[in-house]
Amino acid sequence: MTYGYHGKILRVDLTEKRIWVEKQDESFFRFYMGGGALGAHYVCKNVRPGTHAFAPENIMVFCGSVITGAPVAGFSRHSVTGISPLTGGIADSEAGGYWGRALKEAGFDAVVIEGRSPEPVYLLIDDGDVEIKDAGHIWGRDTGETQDMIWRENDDEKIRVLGIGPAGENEVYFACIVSELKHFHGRGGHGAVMGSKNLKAIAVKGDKFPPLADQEKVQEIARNFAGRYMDFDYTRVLREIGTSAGISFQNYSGQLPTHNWQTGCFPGAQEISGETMMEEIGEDKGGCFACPVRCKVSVKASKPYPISKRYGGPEYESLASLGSYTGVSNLYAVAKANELCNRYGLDTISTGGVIAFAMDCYENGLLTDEDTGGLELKFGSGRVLLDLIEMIARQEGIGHLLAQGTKKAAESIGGEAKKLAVHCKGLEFPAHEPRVKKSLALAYGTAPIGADHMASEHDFSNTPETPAPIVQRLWPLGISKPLSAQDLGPAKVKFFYYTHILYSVFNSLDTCIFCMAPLKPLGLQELVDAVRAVTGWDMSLWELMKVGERRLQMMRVFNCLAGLDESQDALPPRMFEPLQGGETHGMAISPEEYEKALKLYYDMAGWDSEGIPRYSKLVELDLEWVEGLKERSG
Amino acid sequence: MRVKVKFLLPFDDMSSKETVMDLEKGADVRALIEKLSCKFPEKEAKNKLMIDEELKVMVLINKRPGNMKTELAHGDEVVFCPVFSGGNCHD
Ligand code: SF4
Repeated sequence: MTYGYHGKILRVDLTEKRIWVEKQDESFFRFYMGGGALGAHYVCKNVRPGTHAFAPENIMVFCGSVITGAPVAGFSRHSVTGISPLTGGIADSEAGGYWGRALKEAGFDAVVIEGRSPEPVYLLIDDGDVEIKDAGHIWGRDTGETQDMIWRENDDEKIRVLGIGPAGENEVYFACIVSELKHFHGRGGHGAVMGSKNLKAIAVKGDKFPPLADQEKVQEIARNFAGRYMDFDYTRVLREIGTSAGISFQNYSGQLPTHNWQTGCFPGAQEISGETMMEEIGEDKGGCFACPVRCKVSVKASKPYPISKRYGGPEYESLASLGSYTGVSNLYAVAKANELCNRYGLDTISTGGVIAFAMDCYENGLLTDEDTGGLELKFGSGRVLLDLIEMIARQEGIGHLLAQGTKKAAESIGGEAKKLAVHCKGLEFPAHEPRVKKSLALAYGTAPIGADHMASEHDFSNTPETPAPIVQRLWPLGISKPLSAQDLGPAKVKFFYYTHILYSVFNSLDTCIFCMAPLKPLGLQELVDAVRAVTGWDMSLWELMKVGERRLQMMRVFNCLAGLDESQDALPPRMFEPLQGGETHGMAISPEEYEKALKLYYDMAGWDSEGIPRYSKLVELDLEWVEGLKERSG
Repeated sequence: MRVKVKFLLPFDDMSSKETVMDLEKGADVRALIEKLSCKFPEKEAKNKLMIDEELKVMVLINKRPGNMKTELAHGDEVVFCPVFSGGNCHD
């Protein structure tokens, strides 16, 4: 008897149209648990490092974890793992909502997709029955129409649909996967991989949720959360206006990335702030399975652009990337841009990032009117922002160049363009400033997927000015020394190292960080207790941390063999240039301090001086088998 | 002396988002909180800002992080806000 999970992996070969079920035993699930760890296991076992993201040999692993779908706040997410077109390495990406629970209700813990269908298809998983269905008539439709058509032809509006829009079909390198129109596997371009496989959607439903080991305890943890979450300021903010609240704070403190990361102060911040958005176009709130926080805001407008609330509303990241990165302060243009990204299936962060890069190139004469087809790519133009999104999604005109992502676009433009390209490993920067919160330099530089803001705890959770009750919540990890956000010394490296593993636990359990310690209600011991109650295992924080480490080390070995060597841990040149204006004026990272921190981190993580995981580290984590990848990659 | 106090959420139920407070010369952040509590007793400022005699939110004085003992000066801008870390659902 298994609790919380089925022990069943659904395998689908789209080339051969073959479907089979693979069983994995308890020790497998205890070792890999789910999310990116389970995904990385399948990628490492089945894909040769160096395989192109769009090759049929690349696979996609969709899964939650052993605890996904248990009725506790934040246990709702699911992941997709595979090779990213942006980085050429392995990447995972999580989304919230209800799909993760629904997959388990449909009878499976994970779906592993391989091959490429000769014609467009979608996958229907209905209470244990699996069918590859024709999607020729849906191909070309946006994400909303896709969901509607699948609902209609199956005569069921309760089917949970995740799928791609035209951007994924057109293999835009940063196309995302959209789950129920409001939840996104945004980062890494997995939507393009789905497009390359001619897989339009995966629709799931069922009634087979596995039993929980200790139902009462699970309910107690959920009740505790519900009774306490409003005591946490951050969670209250989320409850009131969602992540969009971040715009005001980030701008106030000089950390809102503006004009392609030239400054942290955006004169138009007030216009695109969460407060203004709520007042002018905020429509309703929603969220994810079993979570009382309901942090997701939907927006609606009719003029000057019609904006449908079906596609949710912009989060902090989207307001910043589509707004302050590009200098666009017209709230309606930014909200429309967000809606277009969600309909076409584009990651808002990379979309805003690559457009801001193009604007910077244009203003510096690196892109001319001839290149842009007469479009004036000036910072601040909402019209240009919207036009470019259309062109990127269709790979038209200058959109074709930008659809490859910032890194490749900079290589094509040549000259000084590389200096303006703000990415790590090919993934555009999310809206958190490493020149202010310096542990993020290590996170962006070394996280397996590229510049990832969800890879570790940010510095302000542990500064001398951080309220003691928050700092103390990191003590169970062995972090007790508050450090300035500007510090990138040895103790900060340790802070990053430990919290990077912790976040990897969150990624392997597919839990929502908006519910987790240190800033949010669910404490680390409570998380352990919840895993115990759901699975019946005598789990400890130590064992969970090892799962998190396993995910990171598998991904690192895979990436090293895929050619992402230590040069790929470099920061973009802009991070070494001082921020201009405002409270953070002059802040920069020095190449020497970064290099020193990076080398210390390699050593701490069990990597050699070139950043390759040592054999001893792999043995310690029972990952010797990953060494076998070397032969396959040769 | 006079300082400007702002609440960057979630102090929506405080009487206003921005208020001006008159304090004794040399007063620190703790004194300011005491004064806020007197001015708005029904809003329980103390409970919202402190726990066990410690700050439970961040305080920024003229945009720089401060603490309970940071001395205030005439014209200062004091902002109380939650620790805003990272995160986004567009993951
Ligand atoms: S906090 Fe928000 S994103 Fe996280 S589970 Fe709850 S509703 Fe979803």
